Amino acid sequence: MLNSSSPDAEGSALARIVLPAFGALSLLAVWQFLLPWLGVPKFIVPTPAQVVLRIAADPYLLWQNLLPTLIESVCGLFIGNIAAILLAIAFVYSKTVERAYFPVVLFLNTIPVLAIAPIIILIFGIGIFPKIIIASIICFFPTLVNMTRGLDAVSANERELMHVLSASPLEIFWKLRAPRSLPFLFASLRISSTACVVGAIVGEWIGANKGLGALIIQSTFNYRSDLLYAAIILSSSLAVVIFIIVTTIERRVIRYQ
Amino acid sequence: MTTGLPPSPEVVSTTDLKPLAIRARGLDVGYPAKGGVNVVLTGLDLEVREGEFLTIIGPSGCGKSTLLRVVADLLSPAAGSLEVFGDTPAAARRRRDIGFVFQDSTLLPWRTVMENLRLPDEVGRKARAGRPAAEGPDAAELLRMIGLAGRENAYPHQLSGGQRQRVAIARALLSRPRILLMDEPFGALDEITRDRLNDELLGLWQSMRMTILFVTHSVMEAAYLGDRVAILASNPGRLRELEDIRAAKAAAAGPIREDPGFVRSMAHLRAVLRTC
Repeated sequence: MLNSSSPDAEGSALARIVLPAFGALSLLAVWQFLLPWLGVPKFIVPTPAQVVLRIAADPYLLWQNLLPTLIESVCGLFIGNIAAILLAIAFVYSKTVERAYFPVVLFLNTIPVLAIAPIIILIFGIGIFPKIIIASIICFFPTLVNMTRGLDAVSANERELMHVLSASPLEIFWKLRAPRSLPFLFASLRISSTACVVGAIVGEWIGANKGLGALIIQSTFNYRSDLLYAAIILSSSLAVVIFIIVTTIERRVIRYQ
Repeated sequence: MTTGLPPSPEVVSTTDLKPLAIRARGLDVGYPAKGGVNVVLTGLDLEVREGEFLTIIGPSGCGKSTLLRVVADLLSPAAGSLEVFGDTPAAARRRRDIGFVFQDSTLLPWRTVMENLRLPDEVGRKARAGRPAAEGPDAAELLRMIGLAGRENAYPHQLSGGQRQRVAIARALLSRPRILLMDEPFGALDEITRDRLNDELLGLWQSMRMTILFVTHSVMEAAYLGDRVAILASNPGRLRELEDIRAAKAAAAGPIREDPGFVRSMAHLRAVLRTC
């Protein structure tokens, strides 16, 4: 059993590309032909072909709405992670700060983003800025938790080695703590690379006239299900592309594992 | 017979005339613990001359590692004094007089062999300011000496345990420390690798002539490497005996490890250890 399955699992072209592609295409084919046969109307669920035609017919409209979501997601990803890294550094160097503020941050993190989003929109209005904030809030917590652990993941011997070498605190940070924490950072970046798109779209739902989230809401109300599905596919693709970029950078940066 | 010739250097060692590298007087070391202080080492008097190879052996908890950590300025004595070249351990550390090799190699996994060797150059610049540049083999030469030429760009996980430990020793030696502290550096290696590394270490020591304090659990290693063997007893940790075994080794005719006189000194060390 184990022996017969391992050559495929080792990552031959068949296992890595052909099989997933076949799986996806077979489901799309079932979707394409089963729905008309069941008599499901087009405005409820479009067929894959109708969605593709919609994207081809109106690429400009979709691009116009993709762009703000892209900007919000990427800015949110950066701002949320940078803020989390800075707070993690403060936590690692001062247990007092960590004890005082971690419970507050934990409490804030338990508020659903759907409940926070209207508050942010209320304060900052309709525009790109509040969506960036919502996207960064989503990215913030996983990175804070991971980086607090990662920056502290230094062994006693490593600390002693740095002391024997008379390393300054700044040198210990850059030569030891920061590189130690990188695998932890990328673990949370993988999470936030897709979560930031969710944050941007939730923000656009609550109040926006542009963006994939706004397009999703509008096309739902107008029963334009082919446009709705096209917007959903675009937002998923956006998340996947950001994820791939993050993992590509990760492979470049962390070469030793 | 040999009248007229100078005395054999193995028997009358020149290290006796060298300056003191380490001098401990009534050294007490303790860790703060629940309800007071946990005494690890007490009343230790020890003198180590420059260029000497001192091995330290004793049961668990006898303070072997603790002694190294005081010399390296990683721990402070609770009482008594410890001087390194007549100075405080902290001053010696800042001058880069001290090199430390741990049981796990403590190579940074994200750095290649060469990048790991460069670490001591990259840190502690402020503390070292004004100290003349160390003379001695450079990184490439040291890599050749430890048989790792050509592995400059390997990552630690691509090396065997013995190779990692060789790199750790090279890293410690690169800044030309006058004292090399080694805390069970070969404790995790198989016996054959350990024997080979012992010989390599003796070669490095003979060519670079630094002082070495070497902690080990192995009587064979302690006797084979050391000029003198310090036997520590536990509860509380204290110096039990200092055994000079240069004469036994100098008298050996064949391979030292199998020489009857050497085996007898090991038996004596074991007998003392059993009473610790």
